[in-house]
Amino acid sequence: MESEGISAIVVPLILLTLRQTTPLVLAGLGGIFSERVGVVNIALEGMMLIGGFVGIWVGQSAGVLAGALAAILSGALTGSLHLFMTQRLKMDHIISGVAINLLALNGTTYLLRKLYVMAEPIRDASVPTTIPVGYFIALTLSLPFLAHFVLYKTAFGLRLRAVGESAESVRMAGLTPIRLRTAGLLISGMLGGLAGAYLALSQVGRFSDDMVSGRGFIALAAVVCGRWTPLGAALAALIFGFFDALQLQLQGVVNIPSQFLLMVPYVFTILAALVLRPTPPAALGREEETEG
Amino acid sequence: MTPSPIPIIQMANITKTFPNGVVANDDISLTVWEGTVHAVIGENGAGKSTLMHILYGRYQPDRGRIRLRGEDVRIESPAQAISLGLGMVSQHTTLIPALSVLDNIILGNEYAAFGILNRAGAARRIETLAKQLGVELPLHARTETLSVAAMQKAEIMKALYRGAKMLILDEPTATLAPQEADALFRLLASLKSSGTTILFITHKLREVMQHTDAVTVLRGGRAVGERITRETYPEELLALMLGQRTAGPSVPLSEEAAASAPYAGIYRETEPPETPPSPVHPLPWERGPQSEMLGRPPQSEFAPETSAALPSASAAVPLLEIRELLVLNRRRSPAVQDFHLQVSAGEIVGIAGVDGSGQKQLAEAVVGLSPIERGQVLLDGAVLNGLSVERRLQMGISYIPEDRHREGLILDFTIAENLLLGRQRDRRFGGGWILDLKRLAQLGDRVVQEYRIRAGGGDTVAGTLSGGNQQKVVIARAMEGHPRLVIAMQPTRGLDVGATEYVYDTFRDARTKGVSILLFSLDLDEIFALSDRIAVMYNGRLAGVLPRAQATMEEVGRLMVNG
Repeated sequence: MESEGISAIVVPLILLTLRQTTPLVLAGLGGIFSERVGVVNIALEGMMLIGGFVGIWVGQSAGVLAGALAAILSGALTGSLHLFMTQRLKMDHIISGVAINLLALNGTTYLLRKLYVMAEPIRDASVPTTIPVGYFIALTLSLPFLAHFVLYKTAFGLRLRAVGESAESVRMAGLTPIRLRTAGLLISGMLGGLAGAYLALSQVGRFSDDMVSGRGFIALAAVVCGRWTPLGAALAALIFGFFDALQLQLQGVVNIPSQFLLMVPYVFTILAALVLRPTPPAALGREEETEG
Repeated sequence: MTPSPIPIIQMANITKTFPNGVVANDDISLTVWEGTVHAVIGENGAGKSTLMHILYGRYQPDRGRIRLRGEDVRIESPAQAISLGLGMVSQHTTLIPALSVLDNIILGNEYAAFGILNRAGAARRIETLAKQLGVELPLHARTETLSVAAMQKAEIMKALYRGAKMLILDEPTATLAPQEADALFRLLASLKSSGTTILFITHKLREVMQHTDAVTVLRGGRAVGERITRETYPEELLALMLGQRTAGPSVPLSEEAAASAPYAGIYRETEPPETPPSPVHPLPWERGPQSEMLGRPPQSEFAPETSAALPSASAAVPLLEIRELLVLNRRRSPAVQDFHLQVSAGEIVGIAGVDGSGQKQLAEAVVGLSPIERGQVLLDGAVLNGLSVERRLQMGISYIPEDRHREGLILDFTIAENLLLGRQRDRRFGGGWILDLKRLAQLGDRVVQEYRIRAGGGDTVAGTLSGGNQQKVVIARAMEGHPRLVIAMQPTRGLDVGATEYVYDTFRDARTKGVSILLFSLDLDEIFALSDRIAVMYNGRLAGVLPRAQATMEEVGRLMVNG
């Protein structure tokens, strides 16, 4: 009797935790691949939004898997835009990221109305079937280990980490920094797009205005708490996901305002910054020194 | 050791002008013979680093050719340089502190199968190489935990791991302790015996004499001499490095002295110094805010005066006293040690020394920019240790930094705003909580007039001025603060004859008003033209203090080189 009661609470909580953790892990890994090559990526939020919208849009006519693929591609494109603005135009990384986020938020909101010509509620921006959540949870459980392997055990990963520390050193070692940054940003965008695809195509099967609602930033907080490592970020994402799930479960049951539990990731980040003193990649957000 | 007769590196007519207009290399040619150790020497700004970075493909020359083993090559990137057998150890390490030593060494040339690193294999290869050379390296330690000397070894191993046959080292001993430097040269010697050609930059003549086969001297972006080391001597190299300076308002060469000097025509004896009048009138800072201006410096030509008496500032307490000073550089090794000096009111003391002998740290310790590790600095008997820069400025110290673009001025600010820097709380200059813009504008305009700065007015943006006029702004700021002590770092560097003379006049004028000046310069003519006494720094220590009247260029040069 008693154990049944507990499992009746615990099992849904675990499942809900995994569901809430998934977008944070995917986007968080995206953040790592960008920041590890030296590009600050607050554009994750925008990458997810665009990914989600494109996923639904393509998914409606070509099927949800094609939609997910399109979402990944759209993320890569968004990543390229961020790359172009920060590396070619030498724009401040934060400003470029904010621009992408605003573009994504207002662009998807506008297109939703334009393409689906409708007022309330937004019924048609949805797909008939969804991708099983299990697929994404499997990715969430495996990708952090894969990313860890790539970053720490392969030549490619060593180079990616090196360019985030010092582009000049990388150049002196006979490599081309911009190529490595391009690779990092493309991977970052693809993961961001995939996170968006999960939210739209798997969790709800629908796109609605501002549906990412800050998860991109929470993912970035997980990156910082996880000291820019895939496994650390995944763990932080899991903790954030747990509190998010708890918040959802407790709604209406216990008398804690949900806003307090929503604050958990940010409070946690501040505490982590105090306790762990995470050091970002040395060249993060810095412009490369050029000749002269 | 006879150099083998194959020129392995030939650089011909290399010219490089940077976007900011600085001509770093002007028609430089350089030949290095296979299996030799070749030094490139010269003062700061002589173009040594630029030349080496061109060889390594980091910069592209505007003109000129490079040949390796007799074949014309174009080296467009470090990657290409590496593939041609070049390796470079930069002045500032390019190792990444957060990575392991091993990862740093293999970066870009990884030992991998299907992209997966084989760290064990790479480590074995590096260890074999290291053993041959008698080098020990903690391959798995994080690089930031290593000493500078160990990092340098790692850099060398990195180049050798890539198969470098020609090794370029940019001032390898600049940050090493003497014993570490000796160990480095032993390593270089064993590399040489295994056939590696070594090209290194230095300005330490002792290293050149002891450890090289040949040497090329650069000055002002030009190659001014190439010598076989055993056929030359330090004094000749020093003369080539410093050059026969004809610019500047120094007095004409006394023929007698020139004839008696061992390297006549290189060293010039100058006239005895002028006598600074005693500071009998009230000191500048004691007067009202409007009357204390230094006024227009005399326009007359500087006429050499006679007699070599020190200023008769007979105060029992010297204005500046430095006692047993120890200052560390950023690597926490001593940059200045056991340094002591006294400067009287109204005295100009010139600090001579080869570049990098601790001058900058000494100046910064007095001004308050570098912490004093041990010892004391006193101004008028008051201990300065631990006081803020602001407090020291208020006490009457002013500073003319070495690099006017980076430290001296904010180029986007107007002349008037630049004059206010460091005195932004001083109402007399228009500072305070709310800027007194009117007073600030008046200050700017007056300074422009008095210091004959070629500008429309005090509201001209500093970045649009010529170098000489920018320096006048820096000097005006130092002088407008009613200083008792001016710390001047290379105050005429890069200035033309007219501007240089202007600076000298300003200093002499200040001295007559009782201001003391600690003059740091790499230009011996300048030191001799202005100083009442000359202190020589060698390796962070005081090598000697000579009254100007008794000092000769030979003796000062000897102290600079040998301590």
